[in-house]
Formats: sequence, C-alpha cells, structure tokens
Amino acid sequence: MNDERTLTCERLIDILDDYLDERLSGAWVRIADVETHLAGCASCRALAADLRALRAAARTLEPIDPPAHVWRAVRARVDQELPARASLLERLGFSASGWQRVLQPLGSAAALVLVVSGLAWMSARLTERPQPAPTASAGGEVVEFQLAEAEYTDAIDRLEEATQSASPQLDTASAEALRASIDDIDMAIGDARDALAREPGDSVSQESLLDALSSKVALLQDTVARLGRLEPGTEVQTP
Amino acid sequence: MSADDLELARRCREGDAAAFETVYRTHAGRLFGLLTRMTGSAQDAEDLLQDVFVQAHRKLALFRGESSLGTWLYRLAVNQCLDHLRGKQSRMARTTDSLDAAEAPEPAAAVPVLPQPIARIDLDRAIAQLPDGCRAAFVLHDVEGLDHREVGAALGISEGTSKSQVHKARMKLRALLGGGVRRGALEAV
Repeated sequence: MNDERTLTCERLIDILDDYLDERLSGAWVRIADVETHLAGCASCRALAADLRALRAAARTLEPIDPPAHVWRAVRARVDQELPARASLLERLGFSASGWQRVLQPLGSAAALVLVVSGLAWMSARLTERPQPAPTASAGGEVVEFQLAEAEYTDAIDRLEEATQSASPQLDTASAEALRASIDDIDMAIGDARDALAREPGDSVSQESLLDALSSKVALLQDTVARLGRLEPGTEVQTP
Repeated sequence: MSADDLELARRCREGDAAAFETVYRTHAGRLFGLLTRMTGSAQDAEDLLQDVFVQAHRKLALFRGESSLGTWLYRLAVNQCLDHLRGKQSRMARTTDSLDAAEAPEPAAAVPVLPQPIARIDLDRAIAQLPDGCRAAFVLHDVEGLDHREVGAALGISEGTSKSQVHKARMKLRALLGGGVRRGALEAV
C-alpha cells in the first residue's frame, strides 16, 4: 500500500518539470527519490528523456529573419508619420518662423537650437501621452484621459510660474511674440474644451486637447530652459 | 547598455534613416523569432514587427539608456504581442479548454518517443500548433529563458498557472513530435 510519501508515477509527473528545471529544492520529495523511481520505471524514464530533449531543443531555437518587405513597410510608415508630426507643430504655432519671431533677439543660432530641441521634445511628449488600452472600458478611458489632462495642467502651472521668473530676460518684442504663441495654443485648448463640454467622450476632441496641452508644456519648458543659458556663440546642433 | 545604443537612439531621434535601419537590422531577427513563436503565425508576426518598430521610432525620444536598446525593444515587442493575444482572448480560452479536454493521461511509452536531437524546424512547426495560452508561456519560459515568476508577470497569470501552462505545452509538443508530426498539417501552418 502506498503512503503519502510514496513516489508513484502520477506523483512523479507532477514534479517532473521542477526536477528537470532544477527547481525541486524545498519540495516534499528528494532528488534521490526521483532518481530511484526513474531508474526503476521505464515509462517515466522515457518521459523524462523526452522532456529533456524538448528543453534542450527549445534553447537552441534561433532568431528568424523577417521577409525584406517588412522593413520596407516600416520605413514607409515612419516616413508617412513624420510630416504629420511636423504639421501638428506648425498648426499649433511651432513653425520655424514662429520660433525665430519669438527668439530673434537671442540670435538666429539660438533660435535654431530651440526649434530642433522643441521638435524632439514635442515628438516625445506626443508619444509619451497615455493611450487607452484596447480592451479598456469606456469608464477607464475617461479616467485615463482625465489623469493625463490633470498631469499636463499641473505641469503648465509650474512652468508658468518659472516662466514669470525668467521673463525679465526677454525684451518687449520677444515677450509679446511669446505671448502671441501662448495665446494661439490657449485658443486651441479652449476650442477643444468647448467641444468636450458638448460631447465629453469625443476621442478627437480629447486628442486635440492633449496635443494642445503638450504643446504648451513644450513651449514653456523650452522657454524656461533656454532663456537662462543661451549666450552668443552657442554651438548649434543640427540634425 | 552601451554608449553606441545611446548614440544610435540620438541619431534616430534626429531623423537619421541609416541609424534607424541599423537598429532594425540588429534586432529584427530576434524580435521576429519571438513574435512568430508567441503568435504561431508568421503573418501576425510580420504585422506586429512593423508595429513594434513604428512604435519604437515614435518612442526613441524616451529611450534614456537605463537598459540596452535590445532589452528596450524586447519589452516593446512582448507588450505589443500580449496586446495582440489579449485581443484573441476568448478564442484562447476556447482553444485552451479544448486542449484540457483532449488531454489524455500521460502516454506510457517504455522508450523515448522523440528523436534525439529534435530538429529545430520540426519544433518550430509544432510550437505553432499549440494553443495560444500555453504557447506563450512555453516560449517565454523554455525558449526565452524567463522564470515562472517573470512569465506570470508578463502574461498576467499566477506563477502556478505559468507552470501548469508550460507543462501542458511540453506534453502537447511531445505528443505532436513523438507521434510523427504530420508533415502536411505542419507545413500548412
């Protein structure tokens, strides 16, 4: 008669994976018990040999080269996205001419640095923005959107405070130009919020609002960061 | 993490197409292997690989070099693949159920039934025939080398469920490969 500690074939199968994966320490059965059973049981020994062979083969599986057309498709999709990202920046007042208008008094080199850095930062913010999971409930999407909006709004508040400290470094013309750009973005924010008031769950309006908020964060962050440290002769990093 | 990774990421962010192609050529094979085995479908894997690299291009501005670029891309690919598999969740449940129902007592062959060694191409074809749930666990554990805790975290299942899914996959693979894998059926995969 088998007691609870007898290693039957059925019990061995339960712990065979742990034995083969060398995870048997701490289990109720000793490695020596398993090996004794395997020595005396042909079917369990055959099973163990097959599972060992499977494990060994699985570890030798190699990378698989994708077909060439996959790279072409990736390249085409990336190329298609780049103008769309740029046009969003322009629509929200981030065109190169707009930046130069804002920063002319700092010199054209400084303006170019800011445009390049603004584009990179803006792209990051656009993609960093939380996206609703495909399986999320409608309620979950609303909460996620509200959290994102709150995050941007908080960042804007803190950056506006910092901008006020730095603004004395701007001459009147630059300050006015900066104000005009911010007004443009604020108008886009207002439009999106009006649309959401009419239709709260509208994904296009939500996206527009988050785009506009992220643009304002980018503008303020770069303004604060650059105003204090750009000096004539700054080396220009171009793409 | 290497300085080369950060430099490549910087060049990609600045629109350097050659740098992005280098990233693709370096990592696409490993990721395509992972995606093909996780999904069991070369077509799905092609679509997912595209999505992974398009997403990577968008997110490279966020790459800070805390891990290697390869690890960063690997995580993107696993997440992308799991989203894809979750989209098929109801079908996964059905196929896993059918596997459970079909699972007979372990075959009691007195000698090993698998060829030694197992040909990689046969194993890949057999993996493609596994139900989605246990295939994902098997690939992450036995092929990619994650432990059961990591597999559980990746798949949103417990460590115990990961063990059980890997066991099911191994037994199913033994049956598929040991029974003389039907060439016609496998080649159609």
